[in-house]
This record gives sequence, structure tokens and C-alpha cells, in this order.
Amino acid sequence: MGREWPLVAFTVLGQAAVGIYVCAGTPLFLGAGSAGAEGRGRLTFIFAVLGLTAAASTLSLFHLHHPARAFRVLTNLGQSWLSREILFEIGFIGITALLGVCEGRRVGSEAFLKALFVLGGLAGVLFLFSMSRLYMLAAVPAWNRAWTPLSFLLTSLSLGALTAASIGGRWSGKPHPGGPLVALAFVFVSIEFAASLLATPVFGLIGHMPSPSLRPRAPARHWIHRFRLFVLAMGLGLLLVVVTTQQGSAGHSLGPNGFLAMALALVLVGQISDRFLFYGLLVPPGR
Amino acid sequence: MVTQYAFFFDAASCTGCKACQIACKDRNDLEPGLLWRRVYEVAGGTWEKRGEAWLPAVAAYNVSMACNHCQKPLCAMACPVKAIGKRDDGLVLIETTRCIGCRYCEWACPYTAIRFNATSNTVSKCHFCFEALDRGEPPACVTACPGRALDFGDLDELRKKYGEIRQIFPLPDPSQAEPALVIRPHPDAARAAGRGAEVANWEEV
Repeated sequence: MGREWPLVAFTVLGQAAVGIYVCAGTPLFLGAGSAGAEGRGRLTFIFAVLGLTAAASTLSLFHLHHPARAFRVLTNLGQSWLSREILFEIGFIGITALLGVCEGRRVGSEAFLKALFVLGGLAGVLFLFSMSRLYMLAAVPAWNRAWTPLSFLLTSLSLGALTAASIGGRWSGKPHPGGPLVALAFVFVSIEFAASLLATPVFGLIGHMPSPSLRPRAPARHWIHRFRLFVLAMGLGLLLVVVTTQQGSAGHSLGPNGFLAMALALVLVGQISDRFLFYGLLVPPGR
Repeated sequence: MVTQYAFFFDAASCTGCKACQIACKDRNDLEPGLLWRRVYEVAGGTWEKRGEAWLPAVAAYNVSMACNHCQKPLCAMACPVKAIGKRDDGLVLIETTRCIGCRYCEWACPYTAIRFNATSNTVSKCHFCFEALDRGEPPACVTACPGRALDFGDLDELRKKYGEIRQIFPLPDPSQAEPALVIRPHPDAARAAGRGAEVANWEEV
């Protein structure tokens, strides 16, 4: 389980980048009055997304035993979901970088920037989709379930909405987090908590029958599952405080931004522990 | 001309001596811990009361398994750098100088045939002793089996000779990868799942 840390980092950071792109970028590029959005705010947002994807890509190389040979990684696009995932990742990074260049140098009209933003979002969604399909292997029944795309999507949306709600306000020049984004983050994290409780493979309340396999069974790491639910519940609690108090005076020394940052940290810890649990479902045979 | 080489395994004749496993290790000079052919010990069952008597109702047999050089090789389909290919005679071979060591093929193989070689830092697997085969000699595992529980040949010929069965417990659904494999089941195999049988030697395989 622990040896897959580069993939844990890659998937969580990559999914967070797509989520932030969609949740924080939409108000900046497509929202009402977005044309007048601060150029610096847009650039900060683009640098944040590029930073996350660059970190994800760099860390993913640590799981390769011959990274110098990875230049051929796009040669099996016709069959391999891993090749496709990397193609869409490159597309997502490339379009986001182009968006940054156009925004920074003020090249292209607002309509062109909007179209480029939508195109980048599409590449991001395809990146997430191919990442999910990659793990839906017939040989690994615990991964070959609707849970895999659902959990990846929820990771992306939860982290994206929470980041957009907690620090995205600064990018758009607003002093306080946006109410709809906080509410959206609350909804996503709630769905994630309920889905995890019910449908996490092996550990969820909805059980599944193991099929004949030449792989050893995964050890029952219930404590990780329980820890994950606990931190998600804590994050939800903090989000609830923000949702119910942000309209008036916060009444807390931390204020809404502080609570949101804490909620983001807790949900992030939940995602990381869930991902370790996910990779732990596959026990490699032999040594 | 052979279009698809395949293995035949007779579970009823296998005693679990593991001569095939050791012959493979010896022929290919595999490091400790690396097995291209494994012998799974399947065991399960309990006592059953029939009338006034208590009788053992057990399932116990062995399954010798290597790469099945599948007709639909999921490992090759998963490999992002096309390091795994299929020859005209059906053998699925790894080009280790292309392998990036991502181990995705290891996840994709339903038979866990792909094994990581820590010396070369690439994946590895049974190559059907293709060099011996090209010289007209049999694979090492087939030669070593004292009970003649293993055989090899063209898949169509093996099917004519031994039948069409290609799955027994605990092998996965063969429709996933279409393995080039023919099996003669052990009499206990049909009852194994119902008797709660499990692989008893996970640490070894």
C-alpha cells in the first residue's frame, strides 16, 4: 500500500487541479462580469492549477522504475488507458499554459479566452475519465466498479469547490468566500461522506461477493476507512459552521476563511487516506 | 504451423511437487522470490454428518499456473509503451529494454503471471522457453513434471486431445483474456468454491 505513494500524490493532486480549474475558473472566465476580472487574479489561478499539475506529473515519475524510457508513453493510445490518461493530462496542462500566456500577454479576445478555458476544462474532464478507466480492470474486481469514477470525481469536486471557496475569493478580488461555492463544497463533501460510508469497496456498508482470483485478499484496514470518515465528518462540521454563519458576523476568532482552510485541510487528509485505502485493495502476489 | 501455443494442465495428476516451478526458476536463473510458474495449493472443507456418520467433505488439489499467452493479452493492451507483444505463434513476450517499470500490466493480468524483477527493474514473466521451443525442445516445466500433468502444443490440437475446459477454481473468468490453456479438472474442483476452499500457500506464490 505504502509503495504506491507517488500514485496517491499524482491522483489526488491531478484531480484537485481539475476540480480547482472547474470550480474556481468558471466564475473567473465565464461568470457574470468575468470580463472585468482582475488579470492578476486569473494568472494566480492559472499558476495554481499549473503548479498542482506540475507537482502531480513530477511525483508520478517516482513510480516508474525506468523514467528515462517514458518518452514512448504515448505509443499505445489505441489500447492503453494509461497512454490516454497521459495524453489528456498533457492536453490539460498545455491548454492551461496557453491560457496563461494569452491572459498574461493580453493576446486574443475575451471570447477566445472563454473558448480556451472551456477547451481546457474538457481536457481536464477527459483526464479524469481516463484516470478512472485506467483502474477499472476486469482483473481487479475491487477497482472495476462505479465507485472508482465516482470517488475520483468527488475528490475533484470536493477539493476544487473547497479551494475555490477558501482562497478563490482572493483571485476574483472578493474579500470573503462566495456563498454558493461554500454551499457547493458542503454538498460535494456530504455526498462523498455518504458514498464512502455506503459504497467503499470491501469496507462500505454495501458488501460485495469476492470472485475467484489468483490474488491474495487485501488485509482489512478498517481503521483507515474509519479515520477517513471521521476527518470528512469534521470537515463537514466546519463547513456547516461557515454555511450557517457567513452571512452575518462570523462570531468566531478564525472567521469564515480560517474555518474553510481547516475544512480543506481535513478533506484533503480524508482524500489521501482514501487513496491509500484504494491502492491497498490490490495486493501484489509474490514478494 | 502453430498459430497459438498453449499449455495443458492436468489437475487430477498434479501432486504439488513443484518440480515445474523449480525447473522454470533453474532454466531462467530467476532470483529468490521471483516465480514465473507457481503451484497454488487449493484447500477447504469440513466434516459433514451423513446419517449417523461424520465424513470429511473436503476439496484439496493443486493448480500449476504460468503465463497463459492469452489470445486477448490484457497485459499488452495495458502497456503504454508497447513493450509487450504477441508473436505469430501466439507467444506473448516482453521487450524488457522498452519496459518503463510502471507495472500497469501486472495489475491488468488476471493470472498474476507478470512479476516484477527487482534486478532488471522491469516486469517479467514466463516466455514459454521460446529459445528452446525454437530449437524444437519443450519448455522446462513440461519436461520436469514427473506425473506428466503438464503438456504443451498448438491450442487447437490440445483442445482436440484434452477438451475445452480452461477454468477451475480459483482461476478467474476466462472470457477476460481468452487464455491459451486447457485444463483437466481435479474431481474436487467443482465442489471447491462451495466448500469454502482457498489458496493455502499465498506466501509462496
